[in-house]
Amino acid sequence: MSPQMKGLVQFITDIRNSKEQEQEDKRIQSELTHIQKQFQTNQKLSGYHRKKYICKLLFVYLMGHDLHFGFQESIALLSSSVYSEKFIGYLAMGLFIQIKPELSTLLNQSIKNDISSSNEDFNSLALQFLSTISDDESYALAFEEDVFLLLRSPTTSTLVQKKAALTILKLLKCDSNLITRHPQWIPRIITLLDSEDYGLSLSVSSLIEEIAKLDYEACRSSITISINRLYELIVKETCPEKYCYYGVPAPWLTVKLFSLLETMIPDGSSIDIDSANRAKIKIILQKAISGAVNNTKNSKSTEAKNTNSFIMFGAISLAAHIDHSPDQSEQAAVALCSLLDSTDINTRYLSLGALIKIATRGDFSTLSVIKARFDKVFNLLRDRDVSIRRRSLDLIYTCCDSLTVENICSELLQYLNIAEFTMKSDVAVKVAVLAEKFATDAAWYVTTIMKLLSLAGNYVEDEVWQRLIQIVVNNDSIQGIACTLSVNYLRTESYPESLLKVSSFLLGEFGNQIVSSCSAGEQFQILNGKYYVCSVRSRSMLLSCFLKFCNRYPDLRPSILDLFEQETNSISSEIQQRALEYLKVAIREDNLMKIVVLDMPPFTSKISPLISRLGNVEEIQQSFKLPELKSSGSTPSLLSANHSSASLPFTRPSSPVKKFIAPPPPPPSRHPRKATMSSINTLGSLTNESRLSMTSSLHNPFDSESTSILSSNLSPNWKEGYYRMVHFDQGIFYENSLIKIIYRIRRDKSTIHFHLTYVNKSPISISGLTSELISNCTDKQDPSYLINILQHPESNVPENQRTIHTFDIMVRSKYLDSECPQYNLSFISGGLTTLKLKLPAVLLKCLNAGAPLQKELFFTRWDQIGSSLGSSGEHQVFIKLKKLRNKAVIARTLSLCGLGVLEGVDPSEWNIVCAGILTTLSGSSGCLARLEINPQDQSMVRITMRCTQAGLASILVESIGDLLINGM
Amino acid sequence: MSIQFLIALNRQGKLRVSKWYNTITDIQKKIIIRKVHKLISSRDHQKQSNFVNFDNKKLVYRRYNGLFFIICIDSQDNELSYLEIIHLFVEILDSYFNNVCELDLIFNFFKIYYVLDELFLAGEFQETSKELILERLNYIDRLD
Repeated sequence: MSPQMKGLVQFITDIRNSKEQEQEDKRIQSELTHIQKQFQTNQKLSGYHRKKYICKLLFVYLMGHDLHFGFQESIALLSSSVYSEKFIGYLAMGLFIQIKPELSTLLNQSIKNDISSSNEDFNSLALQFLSTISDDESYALAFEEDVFLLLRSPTTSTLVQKKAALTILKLLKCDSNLITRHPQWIPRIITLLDSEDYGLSLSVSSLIEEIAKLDYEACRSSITISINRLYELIVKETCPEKYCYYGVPAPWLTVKLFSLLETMIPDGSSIDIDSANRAKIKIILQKAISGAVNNTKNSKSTEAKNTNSFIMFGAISLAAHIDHSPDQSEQAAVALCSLLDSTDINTRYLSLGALIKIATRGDFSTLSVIKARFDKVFNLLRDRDVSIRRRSLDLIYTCCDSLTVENICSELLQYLNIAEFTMKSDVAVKVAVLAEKFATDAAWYVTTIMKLLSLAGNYVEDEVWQRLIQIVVNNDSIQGIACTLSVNYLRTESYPESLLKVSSFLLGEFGNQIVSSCSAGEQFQILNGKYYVCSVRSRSMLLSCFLKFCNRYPDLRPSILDLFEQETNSISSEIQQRALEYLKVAIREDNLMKIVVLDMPPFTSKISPLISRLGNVEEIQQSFKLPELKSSGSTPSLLSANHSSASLPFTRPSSPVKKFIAPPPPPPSRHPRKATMSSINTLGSLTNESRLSMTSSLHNPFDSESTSILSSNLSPNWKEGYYRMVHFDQGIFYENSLIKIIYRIRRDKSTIHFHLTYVNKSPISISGLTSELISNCTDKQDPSYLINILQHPESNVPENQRTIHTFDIMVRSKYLDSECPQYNLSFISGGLTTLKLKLPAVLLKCLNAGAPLQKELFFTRWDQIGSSLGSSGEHQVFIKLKKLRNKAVIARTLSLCGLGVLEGVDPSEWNIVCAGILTTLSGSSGCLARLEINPQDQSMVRITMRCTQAGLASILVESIGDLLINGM
Repeated sequence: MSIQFLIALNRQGKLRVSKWYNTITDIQKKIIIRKVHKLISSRDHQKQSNFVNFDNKKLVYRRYNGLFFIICIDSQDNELSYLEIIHLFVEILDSYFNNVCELDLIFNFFKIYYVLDELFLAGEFQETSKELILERLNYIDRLD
């Protein structure tokens, strides 16, 4: 060891000997004053002294104190020719650059000198420094050539090559264009993977994995090299002694190569690998899995056990990824299940994690292996480690099917009694989702969920009971049972409030179905008895329920009116308002109540809102799902509309039973009112001309339910920016308290240029900002559009600063709005923020007005399309605007969409006619549109379009309709 | 896969080693350290695993006497391989400092970076041969 710096040792000792904070602060202050004085006055400070002082400053800084000087002296150390002085200089600058980012330009020359120096130790220091501080593409541009020179030069030692490889990796992470600039580097990098120096091989494999994420094709040759190296390590067990760790050959290189292969072999297909390689992989994985299980049992040291295990977990993960043969995953499942009894906590935890991964593939025989050992998994629900408990819950959830659902739900309901507070809500959500997904018997479903509410009602999210209500409303057969259960649970001494909410809705809506067993009076008494001991929200629901009672049971009228009367003096404004309104409605003599209290319409949301609450499992399933997921053993879901079995189809057959609905019932959103025939018939004269079938377009495709299905994974407030961007070509895409995203769109024929500006609004600087655009094209082979990133945003944005992100969407052919790319943004500002938004690169953005058409020409073209394309050239919908808009506003919106509004073409003053040209790379299409506003009800609009390309009109009409309904 | 940060904390939550592989501000570092300490120190080391979820990432940690060595990795990473790399790191420290203890880490705080910069770079494994790393460290010590 090199001699120590005595002054530093003394300083640290003094600080450690300080008995009080005050004494320590004093010591630090006096030292800082001394150092500052030395720096200011002593012109001939030796390198050693400078190093010592900077070391002291570093120590103070690492203790958490602020620094205000010493930066210049640290930079001075960089030019020292003494290794330890240069090292301290780089170390200090690596940390201080945080405080003084503006210094970075002063460092570049020193880094350049050291990288190109003939001294390899200096090369190393500069590379280590670069790999620590690089955080934007300016570093890549400035140093990539020099760093690559070190990596490729045959005279460089492997020590420096390792560092150079990982420095390039870091530069690449900051600027993914590095590889686009230098595609010729890739083959040279791949050859280094085969190096005899396993450390270099290890470093390079990380680099290749990163490159492969950007340009997978270019890295293909690394597959064979990796497989051969793995074959040597695992099957032949040849490895230089110095790379063995507790007798295991190069374990970290092994798992790194597994991981590289996972990246290199596309999801779920080993088709791309030649048969020789495929055979080799099979042997490697078999040996790695079975060998590791044996070695784990036989080896004595914990280190050797752990090492064998992590190789096995790596192998299982790769096997699950590439090999679909049931015997391979069965073998893995058996091995993993045998580890569930392990006394080692880590092994139990990791085995569960690996089991979840392979179970997610839904392979029948694998699931059977796991289910045969379910008692072990249920036991782990009672493990002493909470993360193990969580994972076993996830595994149970993943393995559930219609055969096991009843058993699993009843086990989980039992478990709810003993589950700790933090897990209860998780268990409850999973029971609710499983029961809904796999139930074959509607009565069982209702009983289970009601029991769930009674056990865990205080821990469940509102979505659980709201979903129950949706399903009960849509299924006549279970309404009576649900009411009886409500009454029974409310008669017990303790009941969670969510149960009261459900009951108040159910009894209000369907209570008449059980009057033979529990009279209306009794129902009222039970509910009224709870009225004064519940929250305002429940009380509001109870009032709504009582209004329904009042409408249906005249006997109860006096007591209910008394209650309303009395509540008009409530101190809660919510209650008071309701009581007042309900009272007025109830005592009017003109039968207003009969009109207000209406049928509860069936719900149409087919996706349970609960899915978003599943958390972890859902993520794993997303990332591990195979393209051809087998659904063996699962039955049609409860919610599928065309359900054949005798369970609860979501779309309720129209039922003659009279039902009532009062104003605000609790469940999620309802449909907007639908267009009716009568309102349509009053529309303008185009009807005769267009001769389309009205029935086909009577449904409203834009109601809020259908949009939310498309976007179940998006951030909750994505819509505002989405519609603004559909509407206007510049504005604010997104804004919250931390960040503002301003956009500008430029249309250039078939290319849509996006220019996003991110403004940091938070009081601290934003770091780790990354954006991602994911294509949603349904045809992956021949995508309808291509995304071309021109400039990535900088990952660090200081407060009040901005960064630019530009990209193009090149439109090749038509696509639906739902195929628009997803836009993900994440950054750290205090905590991690992740935004998932939908980028409206809608086809409308490829429209332009073209030359205005004359009236005759418009109609000639209109007819031409009609006669040549027939119904595929035309589309029509009726929409109901949420707010009244006058014709001028609508016309302006259409012209913002890119259509040219034509004056004097249509005789009716209520109609708007417009035309445009849509350009994609595959050609241009003429688009004609006509909007008719219903003069009697100006919120009713009919949109008709004809386009020269078949199938295009429906897309554009839906886009425009969507914008008019939701975006204005 | 890659390492987000590597830190060592004593039982009181005092930071003894820290290396950050992403650029984050000092304030964020302090917040993370406080959160990590709270999370790790409240765990029962007899009954709980060496892994814990942390902000969409995972912490892998190991205790040596009064010191916790903690690595933060991506959620898809192979936890156990990082648990063993912690051990390799500690073994190297042990040989380098000849029976390492907390005081060595304090008085030679800058030398810990010698070791880290040979073992990892850019959050990835660089070299995992204990023999080669120790050779290199001894060479560096002789340089002045």
